[in-house]
Amino acid sequence: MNATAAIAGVKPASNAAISDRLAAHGRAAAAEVARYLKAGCAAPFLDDLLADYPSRGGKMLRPAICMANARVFGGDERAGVGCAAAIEILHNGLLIHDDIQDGSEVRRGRPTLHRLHGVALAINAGDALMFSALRPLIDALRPLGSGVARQVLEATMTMARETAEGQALELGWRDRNVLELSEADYFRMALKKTAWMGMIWPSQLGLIVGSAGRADPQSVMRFGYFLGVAFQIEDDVRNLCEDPGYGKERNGDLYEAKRTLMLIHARGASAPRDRERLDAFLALPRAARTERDVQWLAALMRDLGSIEHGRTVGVAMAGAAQHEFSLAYAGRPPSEDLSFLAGLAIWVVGRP
Amino acid sequence: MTTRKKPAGAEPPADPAAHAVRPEPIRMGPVRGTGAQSNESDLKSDADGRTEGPLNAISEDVAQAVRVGYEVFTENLRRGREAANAFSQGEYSLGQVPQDAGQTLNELGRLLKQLTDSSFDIVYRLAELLSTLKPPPPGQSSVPPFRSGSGDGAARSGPAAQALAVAVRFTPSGAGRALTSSLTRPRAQTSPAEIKASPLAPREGGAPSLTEVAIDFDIASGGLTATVSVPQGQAPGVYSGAVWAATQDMPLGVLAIELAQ
Repeated sequence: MNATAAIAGVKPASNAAISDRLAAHGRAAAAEVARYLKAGCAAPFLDDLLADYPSRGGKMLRPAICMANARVFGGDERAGVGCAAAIEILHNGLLIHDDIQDGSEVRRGRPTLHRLHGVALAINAGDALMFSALRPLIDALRPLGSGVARQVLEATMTMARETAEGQALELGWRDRNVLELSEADYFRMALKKTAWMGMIWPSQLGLIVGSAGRADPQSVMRFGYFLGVAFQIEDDVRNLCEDPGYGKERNGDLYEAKRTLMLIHARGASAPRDRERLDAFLALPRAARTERDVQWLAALMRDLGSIEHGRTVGVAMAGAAQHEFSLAYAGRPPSEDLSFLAGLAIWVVGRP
Repeated sequence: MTTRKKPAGAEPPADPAAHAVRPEPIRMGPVRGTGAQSNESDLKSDADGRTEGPLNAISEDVAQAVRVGYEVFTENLRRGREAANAFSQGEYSLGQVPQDAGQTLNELGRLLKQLTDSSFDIVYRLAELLSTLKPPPPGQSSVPPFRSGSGDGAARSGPAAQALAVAVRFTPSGAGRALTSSLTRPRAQTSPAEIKASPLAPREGGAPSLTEVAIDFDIASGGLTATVSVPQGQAPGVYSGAVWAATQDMPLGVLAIELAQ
């Protein structure tokens, strides 16, 4: 299957063009985020914390997906940028809580917020960011009518529920040391934890505001799902590689005993003696997992082909995302934003 | 987990029958940046070194993973629809969110004001927005039609993919049960406001028709909701009426319900 042919008339953007688009949409969304987070009078122990994570940068993939969809479905940049800012603010609020739940020490190359300011203030800042996301969202919806506002709220409520379920799955598997997991379990978790908030919801918000509520939000769900799963698998694979990405710890997922596709594969493919040792490792508290054990597990995954399997499945999921793109966006007029969306499936598994 | 692969240099399982071994999968890693590409892979790459055709040669394990991926998504959608239906049959309905949100958010706003001096008046603005916003003028946006469902994805073929799910709710709740669960999708772009139901007439007898049927979008299920208002003292029995889209002359189907005794 040739990617260009599969997307009927839409040439996927190159990595360089995608980077440019991410940067352009990202700048617009970041400016909007900064504008909304700039308080009239700085509240002590709060406003500095709210601005911290957004100021550290990031790929800005979520806001860019939202803004591109808004334009592809007929709206201009103004229709999408408010939603994009809301998405980014909410995402940063969730990151603060996520770092606390995972015990993470570094975020985007700097100490996590709870390490800088303590858990209590960090949780409060996360709460505030999540509520603060409502303001740009409402401002973006105001000119579009109550019907559009209700569609956005319903999509947001669904996303919130799905994301919480996904996070609960991942934390529950780890904290209760759940061992008997399948690929389907992993895909379900990735759908809820990653794809819904990261790809489906931004796509839906862009589609709803861009089309003024006339397009079908369900039409982009499968594209977002497969894109999100491919993204998550690639993220997990990179964590096991030499350079997992700036600000991230190599093999950090192994220390955290994250139930990745590769871990599930390795456990299923390992010999009884290795599985016994693996189960004993997973049962340990995080602080008791040694470098030696982690290195052993990383080597086991390599020997069993688990990392290669994860890479291959990730690419296959990106292929499914390409296929779903061609269905969801069929008939949309060519544009830079359509090419950007068309190129994302390839980009997620080969991104810089 | 169905995938089993013999580890290099690992001891054989104690019980081979309980630990099936599959053949080595074809090695085909993603192309990263401008890195070298495996000779064993059929992947093509463009000037960026990016993968163009990731599905040219995949092992059965990977094909199975994609199939499972589709099944997981379909199952999740089905569960979401069931949850939405169950939710709507209780005392609280998603279709009533705008009204309820006003009350709830006012209360939420009051609580948040007690927590912080920062700008949480946003919730008041949300409540205000929900009650005052007006729809945009017709024809403001050019958008595609509802999804045709004609794709060849593993989980979307067949008549079910052409259907538009409809969840029927009753006011008061529990006043009846739905006999219709789906309609056909509109052929042209159609907003929920352009879909109307004719009054639901009784199948027999001279009871008055049910005239208040509100059609709305249900994002949780990806379909529609039809809220039927049942007047007090309405005669039990089966009622039905056509559902029309303003964008076409053929009805989307018949909405049928049964009122309890």
